Amino acid sequence: MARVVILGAGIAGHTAALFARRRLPQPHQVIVVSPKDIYNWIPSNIWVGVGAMSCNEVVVPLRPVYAKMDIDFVQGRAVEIHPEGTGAVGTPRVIVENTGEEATGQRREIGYDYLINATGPKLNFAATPGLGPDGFTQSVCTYEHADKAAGAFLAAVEEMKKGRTQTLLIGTGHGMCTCEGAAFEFVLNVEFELRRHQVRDKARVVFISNEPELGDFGVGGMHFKRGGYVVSSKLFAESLFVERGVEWITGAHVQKVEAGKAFYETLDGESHELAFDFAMLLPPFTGIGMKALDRAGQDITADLFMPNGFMKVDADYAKKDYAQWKAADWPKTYRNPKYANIFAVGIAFAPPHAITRPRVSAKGTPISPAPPRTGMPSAIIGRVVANNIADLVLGRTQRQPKTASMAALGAACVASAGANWWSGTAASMTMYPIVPDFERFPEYGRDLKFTFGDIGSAGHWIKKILHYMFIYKAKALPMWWMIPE
Amino acid sequence: MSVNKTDQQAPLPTPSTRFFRTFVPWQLLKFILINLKMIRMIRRSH
Ligand SMILES: Cc1cc2nc3c(=O)[nH]c(=O)nc-3n(C[C@H](O)[C@H](O)[C@H](O)COP(=O)(O)OP(=O)(O)OC[C@H]3O[C@@H](n4cnc5c(N)ncnc54)[C@H](O)[C@@H]3O)c2cc1C
Repeated sequence: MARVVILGAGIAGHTAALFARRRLPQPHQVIVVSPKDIYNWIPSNIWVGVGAMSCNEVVVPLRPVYAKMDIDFVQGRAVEIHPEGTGAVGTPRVIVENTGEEATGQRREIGYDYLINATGPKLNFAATPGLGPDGFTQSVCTYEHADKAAGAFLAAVEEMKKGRTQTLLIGTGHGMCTCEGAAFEFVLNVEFELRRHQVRDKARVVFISNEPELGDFGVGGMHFKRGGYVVSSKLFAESLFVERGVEWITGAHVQKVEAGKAFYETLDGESHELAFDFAMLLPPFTGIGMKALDRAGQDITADLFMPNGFMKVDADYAKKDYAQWKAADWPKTYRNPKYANIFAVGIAFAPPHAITRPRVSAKGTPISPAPPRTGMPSAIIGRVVANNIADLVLGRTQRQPKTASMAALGAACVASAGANWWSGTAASMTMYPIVPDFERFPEYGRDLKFTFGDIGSAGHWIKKILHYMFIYKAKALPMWWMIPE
Repeated sequence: MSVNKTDQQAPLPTPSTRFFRTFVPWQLLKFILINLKMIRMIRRSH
């Protein structure tokens, strides 16, 4: 009997749990540990944040799903990993702090044979004073944040209906943020909703980003064929903004936020201020800050985690200049190099380096997107790791482990630009691979056959259908496993 | 101040391009094409 413990029930962890259980019959055990007994389909939070969707539509209660799938659920937060056991007990375990209603804060030990770390990011609002829902800006990173953002946005709309002009500032709240695509989607949705509420003329909409240029998305931008030309995502994104009258500030590090005012530095080293009435600024991400201890109780966190809190896996973490970055640096099996029964999937794994060329401002401040691990690769990696673990448990060791390098995976990004079946549109973009591979594709780093961008209602329909498909899959309804990640 | 108001280098869509973006029959066709492209890309990634 083997026990697979999965920390985190987000896009990567929940997918891994469902596939692990599908492949591993009883008496093998699959246990999920997560602070909340609710799954959030995070990509749809942008619609919650403008009041176009309710919180209920973006969440799935996990307990009934896990009861049906015969997966054990522990409501708690993993705080320590003991990969060699503790004291007299020489088998690996995690320490979990209860977060459910009963025995909150109490700690318990959960032993494991295989551990998947899928704990996602810590939303590091503290990196920028005044940032976040406890400060002066909104967020859409969780459904609760998005709900609060919708309240603030609709209050600003009410002000505009009374004839007052408002400045809406949307983007990234720090020079080292990731997830620029989410901010991009949110600003386009805000602009669409302002038109729907017939107050567009009363609003100044400003996008602020740590990307060196629009359309970088933390992946160094992309190129696609359009109208007989190869065009960059920069032109594509700028065109969308100019058409909608959205202003933009790129290469920006938000230093602090006060009530109604953001202070930021740009790549040229200049400092600026911008007054706002509504702001949604994403935080930078770090790992969630789990510790690791050896059997004697010595701290071995550095063996398992990088200083930013993300877990070390089979990547090449040697420090290299941008010119030396290679597709081969990216992990393939997501296994910790020291403890072969520990894996990290989704945002929780430590990438070897950024994808966009790193930049520092004239004053030496790093202002550069961290590498995104979006929903599609996170879920694919979760599935591949779960299936590889199942092979190990079932003794199918003659099979080569499947790989899921982000330098060999593509991604589909459908960036909503308005939530309406008929007048709404979305920018559909696909790229292959996510991490450019200049050895295979010397000119653009990506295969232009699989990299494209388009805008129209069709994109919105796809985005909406994907929403229902992924909620269906998260509920593990019949044939859920047929739906690709 | 580095706020970029209207970068005139960005190509703007013509009225017909804008019309076709929400013209249902054309978008139905696009829907099929984009899905096919995405399926091809997903297959390559799985
Ligand atoms: C607003 C927004 C819009 C986005 N839109 C898109 C999009 O359109 N397309 C796309 O592909 N991607 C999108 N993304 C990115 C996508 O949401 C992430 O890539 C994805 O959620 C990462 O999955 P994950 O499982 O690694 O992390 P998460 O989904 O964040 O899950 C982490 C899980 O770990 C749990 N956890 C945290 N701490 C602990 C602990 N100590 N112990 C146990 N469990 C813990 C959390 O509660 C959560 O359940 C968007 C992101 C945001 C914020």
